[in-house]
Amino acid sequence: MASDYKLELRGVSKSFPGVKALDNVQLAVRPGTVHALMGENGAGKSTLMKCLFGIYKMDAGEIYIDGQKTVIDNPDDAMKKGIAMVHQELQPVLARSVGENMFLGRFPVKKYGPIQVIDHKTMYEETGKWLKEVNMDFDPKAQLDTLSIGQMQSVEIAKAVSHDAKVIIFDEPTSSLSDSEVEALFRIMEGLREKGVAMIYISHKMDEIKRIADDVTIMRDGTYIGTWPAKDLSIDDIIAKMVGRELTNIYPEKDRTPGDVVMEVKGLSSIHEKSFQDVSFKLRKGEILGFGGLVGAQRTELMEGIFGIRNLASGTITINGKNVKIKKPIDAMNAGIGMITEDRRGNGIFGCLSIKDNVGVSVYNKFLTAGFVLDHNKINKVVDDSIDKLSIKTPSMQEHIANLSGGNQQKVIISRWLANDPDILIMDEPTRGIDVGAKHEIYEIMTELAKQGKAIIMISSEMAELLGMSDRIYVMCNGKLRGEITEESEMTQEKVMSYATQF
Amino acid sequence: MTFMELVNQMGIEMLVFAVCMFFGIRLIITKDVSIIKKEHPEEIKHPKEYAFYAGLIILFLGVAALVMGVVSFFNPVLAMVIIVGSVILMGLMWKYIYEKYA
Amino acid sequence: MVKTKQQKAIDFLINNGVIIVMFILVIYTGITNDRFLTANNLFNILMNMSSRLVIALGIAGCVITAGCDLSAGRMIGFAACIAGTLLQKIDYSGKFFPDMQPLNIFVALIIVLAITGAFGAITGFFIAFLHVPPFIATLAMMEIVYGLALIYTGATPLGGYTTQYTNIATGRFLGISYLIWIAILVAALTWFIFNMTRHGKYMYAIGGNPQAAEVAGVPVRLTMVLIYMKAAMMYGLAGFMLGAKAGGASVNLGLGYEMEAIAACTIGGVSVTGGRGKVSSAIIGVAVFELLKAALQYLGVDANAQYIFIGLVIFVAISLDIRKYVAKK
Repeated sequence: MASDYKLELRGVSKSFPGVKALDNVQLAVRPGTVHALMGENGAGKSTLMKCLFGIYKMDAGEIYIDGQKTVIDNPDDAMKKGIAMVHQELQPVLARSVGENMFLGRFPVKKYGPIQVIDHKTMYEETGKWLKEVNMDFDPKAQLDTLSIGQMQSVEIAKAVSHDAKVIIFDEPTSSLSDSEVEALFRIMEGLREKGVAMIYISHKMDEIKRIADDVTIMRDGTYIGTWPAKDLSIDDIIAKMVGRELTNIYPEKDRTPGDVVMEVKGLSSIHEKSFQDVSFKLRKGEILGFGGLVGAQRTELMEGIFGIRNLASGTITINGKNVKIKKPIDAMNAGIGMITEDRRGNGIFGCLSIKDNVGVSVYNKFLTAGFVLDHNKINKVVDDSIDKLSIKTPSMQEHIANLSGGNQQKVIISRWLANDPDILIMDEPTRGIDVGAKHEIYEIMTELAKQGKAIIMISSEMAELLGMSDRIYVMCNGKLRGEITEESEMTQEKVMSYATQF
Repeated sequence: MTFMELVNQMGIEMLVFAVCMFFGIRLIITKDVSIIKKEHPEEIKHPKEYAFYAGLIILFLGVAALVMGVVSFFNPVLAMVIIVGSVILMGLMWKYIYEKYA
Repeated sequence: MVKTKQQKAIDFLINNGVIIVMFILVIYTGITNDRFLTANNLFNILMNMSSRLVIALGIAGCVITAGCDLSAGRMIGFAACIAGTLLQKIDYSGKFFPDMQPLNIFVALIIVLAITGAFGAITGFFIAFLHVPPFIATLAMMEIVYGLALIYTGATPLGGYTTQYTNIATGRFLGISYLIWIAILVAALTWFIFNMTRHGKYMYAIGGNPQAAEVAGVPVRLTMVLIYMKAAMMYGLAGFMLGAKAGGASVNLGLGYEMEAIAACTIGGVSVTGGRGKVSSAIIGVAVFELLKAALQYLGVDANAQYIFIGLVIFVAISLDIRKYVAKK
């Protein structure tokens, strides 16, 4: 019966020039349930949601809300009809308060004759109410950039709820959240369940799906594979259905023996007292060194300090026995270090440039003829090689990098640094926001690099990844190095967590 | 001298003064960093202070331009010295507020 | 948002609106005024284009790195004046340096380029090392250059140039004026720098994402100084060219040319949001502006109304550019 479902999508098809993104896809979400939508990147999940949300116009297909057929013209229309989306990459207005963000575009106004003034009192009162609805109790007047990402996200959810949403789409909501923030999110979702809201949950995190989802719909290559109750599927089942094959080992074998110490760091301290202080560690050739810790442990800041993005107050860095002074990224590059940053969009990719330019930017010094003319032939060859070796899915190297999926963008950044042939590669959350298949590819790449004798530092907040990939693990807490785990037998979640919480 | 002669000699300085007043006062009152840093305004660590002091510096530049304009009637070389000195000062002040607040 | 064919057509019209208006105006003028589409007139338009193109190519570097250069106009005037004082006929009654022999034009050009380049480098220094926003830094430099020009010339207009100098505008090589040859040469050189050197690529990177550029090892500060220095040298060249064409110069030559140059770039595809644009963009944009101006002239439009119209075009061009790219970024 149509009215059993809060939301129904039937026969949705959508094509773009050269590719059929969705082919007769269906989705049915019962009220008060969490419905997981899963599939690799390119499976069509985002495209389906964008069709639902009015960002794309479907070539074919129908949408039913509460049993009524509806047409959605644009996101504003979608919101009016009760559909809300909590984005993967948040776009709040950081310089303004929580209340202003909540009511962006629909500020409550007081009218003095012909003049309209924003009614701040009502706005903040309402905001406070909605925040309570989602079990959050921070100050509605607080400026958004003082909040953590998790809190910002709950503002997004409160905003969605305040729009009286019947359907809320969560698109990779936990990729930047700490564990406690994820708990808070799940609490909110429980609350929404009770209200009868239909929730669509897009994520790659298997354990979360198993925990929170009632039903699971799997898509592959733009087609609908099927819907099952979550309790009937094991994680292996889900993965198998997503990729169409059995994935026995997500993490490659760690059959390597690290060599000599290639880099030694002593007493590194940031100029900011609250950031990392007095950190010392060693890095060996051919090893993957994991850095674990809670969000906020200052791991990224430490690596940025080593790479010359941040200023150091004191400490030494020794590479291959020689002391190096790193004040700017170019110094680090000359010393043989490459860094793949955490924030791809912020300081990783050049969004409006092509793949070729994104790869080439750091290596032009190596491909010059006549001293200063760019040798495009050589550059093209290097980029082509990278696209091949790393299986970057793209029609050509002139393609805008913004058109690639997150996983492929990450591969482009990796290519950029590999083209420089560094001895040391720092990777900060290398597989964040990337689908299972691409993750596996990146793990293979990392393992291959380690085998070749490169030293890799990997910052990861994903416990399984940290334990599965690292030869050794350092754990930081609140800016200080709290523990080193060298024995395979000691690499457990509990050990890492115990170090990570030593404030 | 007539108004036209005044404008001919000093018109640009008056314009610069007006523009600087506009941006400077706007920055000081609204403390909205995106006026001067349209892209990635979220990278500035202390946006309110940065905007405020930037506004002050811009006001300073505007006043300097006006003073230079007036002095140029009497002593062009002195006017020159004033504007060059003001600009150098402005540059140093800006570097200072950048290091402190951004 | 997926657009219907109709919406896409409207978008196309809006984005290229200025070019379309130009086409309409040019065709209309051509029909109603039989002297408009003559070879002679088109040749004149090309001559006007040449100095404007040099300015646009210079300022393109600033725009691509999401900056601007308000000092361009004053630098043009200053350069024209310097060149003027060095290239006056020995027996000219109002000669500036009464006892000096007029210099060889190449020597004079080198002096002009050196001076404007130095000022450009200082502007670049303020922007790159002192973190002053380009708007403010170039505003300040504009003041300084104007002041210097006033002091140097004592606000007297210049004239009486040597024939070697005025020949640049009147002389022909293979039937085409030297001015146009210079413009072609500069365009080719700029294309080379943008596409075949590291500096060019770094420029696009900085414009696209300054933080990422820093992380990727791009020499951001050095590149910025070079960009503004290069731009200033091109303004100097343009001033030199304009002085030759007009046969005279005053401190107000080139006033306001920077706005037209920036707008010309945006019409052709350079974006003020940074990271985009090609040499062809500048060429198209400058052509549009010059054709527009010529058409208005031939239609007998009042001089002040022309001024307003061009101002409107500048406003519209930049607004369209922002509309196109702000959301996308």
